[in-house]
Amino acid sequence: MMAARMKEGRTGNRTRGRMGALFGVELRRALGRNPWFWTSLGVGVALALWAVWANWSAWGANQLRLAVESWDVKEFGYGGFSPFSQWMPIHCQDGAAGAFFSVWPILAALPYAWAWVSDAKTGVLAQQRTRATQDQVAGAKLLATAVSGALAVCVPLVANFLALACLYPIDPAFPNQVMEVGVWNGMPLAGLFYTCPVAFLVLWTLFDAVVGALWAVLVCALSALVADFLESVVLSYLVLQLLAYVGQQLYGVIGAMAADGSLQGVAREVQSGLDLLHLTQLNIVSWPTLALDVALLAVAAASLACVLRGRDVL
Amino acid sequence: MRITRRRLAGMVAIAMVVAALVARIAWVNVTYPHVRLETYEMGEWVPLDGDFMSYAGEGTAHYAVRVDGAQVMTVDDYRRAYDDGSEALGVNGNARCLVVLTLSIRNDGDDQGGFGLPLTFLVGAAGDETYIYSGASQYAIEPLRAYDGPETDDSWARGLGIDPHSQCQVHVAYLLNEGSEAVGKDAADTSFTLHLSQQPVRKMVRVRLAGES
Repeated sequence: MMAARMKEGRTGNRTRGRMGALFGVELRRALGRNPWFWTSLGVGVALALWAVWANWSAWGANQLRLAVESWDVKEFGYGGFSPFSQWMPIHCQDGAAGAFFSVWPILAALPYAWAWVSDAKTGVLAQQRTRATQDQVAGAKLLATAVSGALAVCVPLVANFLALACLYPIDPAFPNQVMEVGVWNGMPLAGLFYTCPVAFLVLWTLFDAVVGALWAVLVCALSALVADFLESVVLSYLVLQLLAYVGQQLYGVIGAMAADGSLQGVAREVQSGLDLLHLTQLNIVSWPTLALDVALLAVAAASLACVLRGRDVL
Repeated sequence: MRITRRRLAGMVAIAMVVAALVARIAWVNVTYPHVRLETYEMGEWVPLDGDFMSYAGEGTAHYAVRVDGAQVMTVDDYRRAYDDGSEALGVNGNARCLVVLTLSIRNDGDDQGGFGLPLTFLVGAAGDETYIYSGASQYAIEPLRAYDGPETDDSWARGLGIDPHSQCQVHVAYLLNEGSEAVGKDAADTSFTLHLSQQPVRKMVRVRLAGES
């Protein structure tokens, strides 16, 4: 019995070791000299820095100057000019920030979601399969895809914050400055934003990273299903656009159902819930709806990933 | 791991970028002014010392404020307790929507001065909900009055004040900042932060409802 357990343990360790080694190889392929990863990251960071420049040159510099000039004369919503309140997921109405939050699904998929289809065509997949199980190969590849997708979304956010911190002083914001800040009561983590903005920053970055990772996995699995990466990117992106459009239409329909405006809240919730395209920016949406969106994304990604397990390349 | 010349150059470049970032962020935060935060407890006098809610012209130089108590009330209960009886009762529902603070206000100066009481606000425990000064307070704050001294450049920005070297107690009502819907909602919070000034020092008081530990 003891011997059987030891044997089982050794086999388990070997399996984990093989999986780890395979994951290491995939991660190096995904993040190392992978031009698609660096292109995606470059575009994301460029948009994030452009957003800072647009914010600063359009009004930020002038408003901050006025705030500093009237420092001991007039209240100017000073906390509204901190890197926290000007951060891209909060101030996403400007061109570059808006563009980033419109193309993040492509940026997340671009680095490595093509790997399965490409490796299947070139024979790399079959070669890997001779040395590891189907689950190990699929697991390592999807995990590396998830990491690359997460980095493609969250690195630009970090770059945006650091660039803003080079321009605006770090000061806490308060809920009475909501007009300057834009974090309204009812937005997810709004309380944390006002009480501990660093924790807000970290948690929202992690949330976006998770969404980016799930999306990259979903596109990777979908590409295996349709056997074409470009088709899967276009198809998944069109579905996001369609859902956002349907949400917008439903907002009008549901809102008009009650003349006294009592269904406005429900209408907004439905619209925000269906607008997965803007999931990574801060919206007025309740926690249950947000959690449901992420859960749906996770279920879709996991279901499609199961397809890869059943598609043995040998 | 062998450190090649190329790898070394990369590491030096990254270190330089990080150092430049840190230096720039430090410079910005040393150069620009910062709002100092001061937090007080209920029962403690808060010296306003020139700190203001909206304009320096409020005249808070010799003013001090103390929170003596806090309770939640319906609009009718509040009016019965503190109004002059001219307002109609029974038209605002039975929601316990008002957070009523008992404030002691002291003016140690030689002129009226004042402070921006109607701009003060409460923040609920979660940190994202504000309770703003309610118009229902207009009779209950009668001991306070607008600036009545000689007209000066900033007299329009003066806060509400009391006589020099005097003290008064008022009962100020705050209402959830949700427009007309707020009157129909019970105040759910039991602890708050009262903001008495915003700049150059933000002075806040931790407030707990009577009976809450």
